[in-house]
Parts: sequence; structure tokens; C-alpha cells
Amino acid sequence: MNRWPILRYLLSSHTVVLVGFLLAVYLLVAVIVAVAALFTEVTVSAVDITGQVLPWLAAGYGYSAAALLSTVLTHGRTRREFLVQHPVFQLVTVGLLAVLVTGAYAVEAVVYRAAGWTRTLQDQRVFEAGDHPMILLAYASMLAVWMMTGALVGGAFYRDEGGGLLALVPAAALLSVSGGANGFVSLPFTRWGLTSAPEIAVVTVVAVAAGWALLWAVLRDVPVRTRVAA
Amino acid sequence: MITTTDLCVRYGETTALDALDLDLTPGRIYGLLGRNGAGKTTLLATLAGFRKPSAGRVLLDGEPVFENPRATSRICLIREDGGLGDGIDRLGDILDMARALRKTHDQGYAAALLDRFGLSRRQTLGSLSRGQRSAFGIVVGLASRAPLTMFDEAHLGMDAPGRRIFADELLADYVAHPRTFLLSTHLIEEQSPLFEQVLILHRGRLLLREDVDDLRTRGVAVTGPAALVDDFVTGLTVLGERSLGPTKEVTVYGALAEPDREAARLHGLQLGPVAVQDLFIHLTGGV
Repeated sequence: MNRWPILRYLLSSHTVVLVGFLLAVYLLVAVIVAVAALFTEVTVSAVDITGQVLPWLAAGYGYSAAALLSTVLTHGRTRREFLVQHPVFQLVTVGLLAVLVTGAYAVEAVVYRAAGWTRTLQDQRVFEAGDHPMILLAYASMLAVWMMTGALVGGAFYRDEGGGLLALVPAAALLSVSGGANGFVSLPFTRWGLTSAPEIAVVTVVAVAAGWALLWAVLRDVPVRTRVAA
Repeated sequence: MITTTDLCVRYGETTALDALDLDLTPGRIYGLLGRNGAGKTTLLATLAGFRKPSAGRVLLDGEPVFENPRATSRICLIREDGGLGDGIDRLGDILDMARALRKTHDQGYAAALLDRFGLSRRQTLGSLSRGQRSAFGIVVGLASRAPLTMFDEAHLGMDAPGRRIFADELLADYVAHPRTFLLSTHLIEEQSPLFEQVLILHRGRLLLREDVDDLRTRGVAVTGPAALVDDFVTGLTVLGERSLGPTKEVTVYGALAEPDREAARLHGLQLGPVAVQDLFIHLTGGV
């Protein structure tokens, strides 16, 4: 058996699907923008608007991790293996997705320039339209924290519903703290002023590590659910 | 093979398994019987490392099972609810996952089993009927070729031909690739021909463990004219009875002494093996 079988499996299947899904989303966005341009003047960045949906997609995907754990256990693997290999998969996948998003911003810049359209970003963004390193960092930060938080909440609800509700508190804290830094949660009490690249990176690492530690605590000995007890 | 020592599992105030000691030797087919709530599912889940014991130990060839990949990779438990994926997952993808995660998984055998059960790799889990889902669970379980393979009511919802295929394939693959099977079932009469040994769980404890052939000698089925049979079994412990016209079959508990057997022969009564299900019902408290 190969080492890290769960990671290899996830990278060869789930990562491919997620990247393909995001590509499909951007193709759809391109079509919508092209159609809209026939009727009105384009003034906002469609890729940037799409960025509002990505946190929820990341969290939703992360939420499914507990169900995946159950299947992995059926195939003879352990919780410990899963809790080590799934986060590595998350980070690799998030990195790829962030590169893809950054590429979408770059392609959009070329298209808008050629078409003579203006390109306005959301107010709370911590990056400028052409600042690709910061775009990469902000999206990587957001995707990493939201995916891990989704996994935490999904794992807690899998363990028991009361625990799931309880997990919403640290989940909200993780998203608020990190969102104030990467610009994807804009609330009055989350404006930390930590907007330099090193600051965003540190906040992200701390938030992801905290989420992973909580996920470990929730799932390290979780029983596999059975619908009918004997 | 797999051993439990003082195994306890509790759910709050409820004790599902109570100081259970068990030692299953390798290369046999075991039947796990028990009434609803006896602890069968909990026992199987604990043996597979799906659940941590509240107390006691579970060892596979001397190694702890829970969270030990050296042990869990050699165990496969297929439960009645499947637990193999989401409704949108294609069967082929689920089998690919099994191949990626389990060294002993045989993809060629899985494909052959899919054909036998009339399933396709392109079907999604959600599109399957209850019986087809069970059949797919059996595909995954048998193709795992895990040294300890357990099925928990895995045939639920399957029609009779499907269950026959399951029994045939299990026996054929058991002969070709000897390993240990533990089958939990309520279809006792149908499945008992598969078993070499029967384990009966009752209220979280092991009530009985016996080879099926020996178990059947714990009782006798007496068949003949109704009046003669009724006379013959007077004073014996009757487990069950069936009538067909003037003929009656009564199952009695306990071995018959030689004089009783001789008397039965003189009266033209037939003596036969007892149904395991009748013994099970009697041993677990009757109807």
C-alpha cells in the first residue's frame, strides 16, 4: 500500500473535481458577462463578485469531511490517518484553487482592458485589481479557513447535534478573526487593520491550526454512525 | 484471530455489551445471532474499530484494533446502512476509492460481482433500490478480501435470488481465498447452512457459542401422525410445532435417550435435526 493513501486518493479525485468545478463556474461567469455586455456597460469585476460565493462553497465542501471519514473507516483506514491527510489535501487543493482564482483575475484584466470596460472591486478587498500576489494570499487564506471551519462544523454535527451547535461559536470566531485580515468578512468588530501580507499569513496559519486542533478533538474517537441499533 | 477481553460498550445508562470475552479462530464462517437490541451491531462496530470500547480490549492477532491501521486494514465491516458514500457517488468511483484505500481489494472480482448482481459502475448509489444497495455492499465486502470480513444484516431488502448469489459467492470465495467471515443475520434458517459456528448474543453477553452441527443435536424434530407425536412429546420441552393434514412435526429441546429413540422407531415416528431458529428462540427466552 502506498503511503498516505487517503491523501493520494483525494488529490487524484476530489481535487480534480473541485478545480474542474471552479473552472466551470468561471466559464459560466464569462458567458454571463458577455451576454450582459450586449445590454449594459460593464463596470464591476465579475470574478471579484464570484469571490463572494467561494467562501460558502469552501465551507460546504469542508462540511462533507465527516461523511467522508465514515467511508474511509469502512475501507480500513483510521481517524488519525484521516485527520492528518485530509488537512494536507485541503491545503494543497486550496493552493491550487487560489492560483486558479488569481489566474481568473489576470485573464479578466486583459479582457476588460481590451473591451475598454472599467473594473471595480468590492470595497472590503485587501488587494488592488492588479496585485496578484495579494489576491493569491487573500483567497488562499479565505479558502483555507472556510474549508477547515466547514470541516469542523460538519464533524461536530456528525458527532452529535448539540456539539454541532456548540461548534458554531468557535467557527464564527475563526471566520471573523481571519475574515477581518483577508477581507472576506467585513463587520465593524472584525476590522483589525492587519492587512499586510505577513500579517494575513500569520492570522491564517493560526486560524487554520486552531480549526484543525478543534477538528482533531471532535473526530479523534468519533463513533461511526449507525442508522439502526441492534 | 480476533479476541475481546472484558469488552464493555455503554450508551449512557444502557449497557450494550457487558464484559464480553470472545476468541474467534481464523478461517471459519461464524454466524452472529441475537434478538433486536442484543448488541450485535455494537459488537461488530467495536470489532471493526468503528466504535471505541467503554472498557476492555479488542485485539486482532495480538494488536489493538481501535485506531491501528495495521489491524483495521485487515478488517472489513459492511453494515446494513452501507456507509459507502453519498447518493450522488457512482459505484465505479466508490470501488476506485476502495482500491485506493485497501491493499487487499480485488477490483477484478468486484467487477465480476457487479455483473452477477446486475449492477453497473455508472449507476449512482442514490439510484439503487434497497436490495441493490445491499448487493453493492456485498460487492465491496467480498471484494475487500479482508482477512476478517463482517456483514451486519448486509442482505437486507435483497430478493431470494440475490441472497442465493450472496451465499454462493461467499462460499466460493471462502474456498478460493480462505478467511474469516462473521455474519450477523435475522434470517436464521436461510443463512445457517453457511455457518460453521454460531454465536448467540443476548442482552450484551455471549449466551452460546457452538458448532452448528453440535447445536442441531440439542434438539430433535419428531414427525408422524399427530396423535402419536403428541403422545411421544408429552413431558418434553416443546420448541415449536407444525401440522400438515394428519401429519405433525414437533421440535423438542434436549437430546433423546436411546430408549426414547427406539420407541419412536417402533411407532414409526421420524426423528430429524432441529431448526436452528427454533433453538435460538428457545434459548433467548421463547416467543
